[in-house]
Amino acid sequence: MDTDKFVLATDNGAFGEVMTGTICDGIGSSGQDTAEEAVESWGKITWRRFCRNKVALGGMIIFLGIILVAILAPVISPFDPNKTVGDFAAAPSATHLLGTDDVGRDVLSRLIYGSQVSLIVGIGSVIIYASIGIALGLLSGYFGGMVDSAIMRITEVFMAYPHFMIIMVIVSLIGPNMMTVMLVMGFMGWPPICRLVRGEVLKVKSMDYIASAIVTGYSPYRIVFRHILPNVLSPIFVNATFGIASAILMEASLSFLGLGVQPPTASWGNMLTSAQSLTTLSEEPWRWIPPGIAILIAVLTVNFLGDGLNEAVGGDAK
Amino acid sequence: MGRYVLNRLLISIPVLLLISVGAFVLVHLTPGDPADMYVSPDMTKEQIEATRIALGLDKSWVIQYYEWIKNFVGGNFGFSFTNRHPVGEIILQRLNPTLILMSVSLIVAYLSAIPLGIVSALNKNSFLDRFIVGWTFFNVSFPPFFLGLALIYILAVQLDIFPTGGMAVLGQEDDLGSQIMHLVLPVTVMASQFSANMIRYVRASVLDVLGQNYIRTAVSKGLSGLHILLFHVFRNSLIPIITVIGTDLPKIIGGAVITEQIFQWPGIGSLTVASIFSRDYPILMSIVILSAIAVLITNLLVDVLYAVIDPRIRYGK
Repeated sequence: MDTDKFVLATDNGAFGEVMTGTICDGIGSSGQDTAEEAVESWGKITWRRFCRNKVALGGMIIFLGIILVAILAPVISPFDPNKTVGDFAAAPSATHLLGTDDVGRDVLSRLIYGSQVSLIVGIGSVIIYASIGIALGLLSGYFGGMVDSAIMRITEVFMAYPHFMIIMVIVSLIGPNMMTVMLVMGFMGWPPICRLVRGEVLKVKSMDYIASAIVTGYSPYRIVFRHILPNVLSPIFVNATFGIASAILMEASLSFLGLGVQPPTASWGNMLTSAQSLTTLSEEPWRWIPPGIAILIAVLTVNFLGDGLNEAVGGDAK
Repeated sequence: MGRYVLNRLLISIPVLLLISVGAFVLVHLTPGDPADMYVSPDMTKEQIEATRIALGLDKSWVIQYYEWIKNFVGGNFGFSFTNRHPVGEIILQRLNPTLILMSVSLIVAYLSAIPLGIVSALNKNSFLDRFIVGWTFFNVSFPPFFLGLALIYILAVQLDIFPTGGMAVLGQEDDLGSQIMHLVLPVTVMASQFSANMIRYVRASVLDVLGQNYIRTAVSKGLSGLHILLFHVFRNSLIPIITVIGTDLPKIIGGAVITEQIFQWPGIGSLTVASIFSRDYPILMSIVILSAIAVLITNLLVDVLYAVIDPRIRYGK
């Protein structure tokens, strides 16, 4: 057993750092300051390792670029994305760099504003489900017993529904728009993170520093949030990053089917809806190829980012 | 083992009940009255009320749920709101195309992914390995609808090699060659997603096994490389592979909503989308519950299979 722990701590430098900090905290010597310092240096180590992976770094830079485009959309967008500003379905030209759609809206402007939808839904839904998953996972893992089995049964129920299909059905039943897509994805997505956190908590719970914290007489609340949570954060971050990629993909898919963000609001997904007609597909490629590539780039960069992060924290979370 | 399976089955019962309640509540919480589907503007109030009674919509939710679950267990899934056909019949009809599409896709995906994953792991950090890993990232990130549309645009519209959609040419449903041509594009879209996931798992799993002591022992005993690969490495890498298969299999029932939609494939996925648009609740509820049951059964099978493949895994106390 002891060898196991030893391997775990040395194998993963980051883990060892945090642990030392928390042990000091647990013993109650200089307390908080040491812990905070350790967490900071953990961040530095992770960042240094992350930077070694050039692809991940490139992914991060492009993704930051997309965020910048979304924030600056009103400034850089050449036209109002929801207004008719040109001929119907006109090919790309000097005024409309990516042409116009079937009601004369500027494709480039819609592409720029579409990034807002992808990012808000992608990041928003992950924040929602990560919060739920972390809370339930901590509860389940730390308290065990009845609480644990109740939460695990609910998790099983949620995981038994086919993910994409159930989200599609719920969103369409309560009325598809950006908010409902984000909320439903948020409320349906927590089980994997819950299981992940529970597993990590179970691993950490048997460590000596938790025992010492309990002996010191800290409240469960303090132990869970100050001692356990910081030590299980790495796999959560990795999982959440990959989660953003799949959330962006899922929003685009729903909107593509006409069951997500509804026109006239531009989303990368619903810009491709019209390409289901063969005429648009074959004769107006400027209307569907740019948003398709935009989704591909956004998802790809986030996946690279997640992979780099995973490598940097030395984990193997999927 | 038998006791373990029995235990798992017993635990599945409350989970199944919760799933069915979930699906029922979900569908009944929605705004709008399903009876509206049958009502034409010239109907009188009494006629509308008669329709509601005929559909059982006048009873309380609890009774509606009870009636519905009783029928469901007995194999009567209700009748479609849109065309009054029995739901079971409709789903069965759509199941076949989905099963064909999914099984061919899974076979193509696994047959390509498992060798690629092994090759990738055996040549870790080589150019080939980097290429394969990069390729998997590309595949999982490619929006399936964009890939489908791009394939249709290039291979069906521009080059005119494959048909743009459907399962067969009308009137020549038995023409095997034409059926295969119809399968190629949707299978490509599905297989690219399935295989990417599998390649990553196989690679990670083989890398893990390669680092074990018993492999070093096998090498130092002088066993041939192929023998080690087949009987030592691959056999021990099977567990993660089965996990992936276990997560892929339930998708067979759920169907590939997007792929079926793009290629007008007459399966469960396109039936789901059509039922959403027509608010055909009996069909939706049945599809959701049947897919959930499929997930539970696959999970159980996967757990049992773990123990069969890996004698180190023992269940029960």
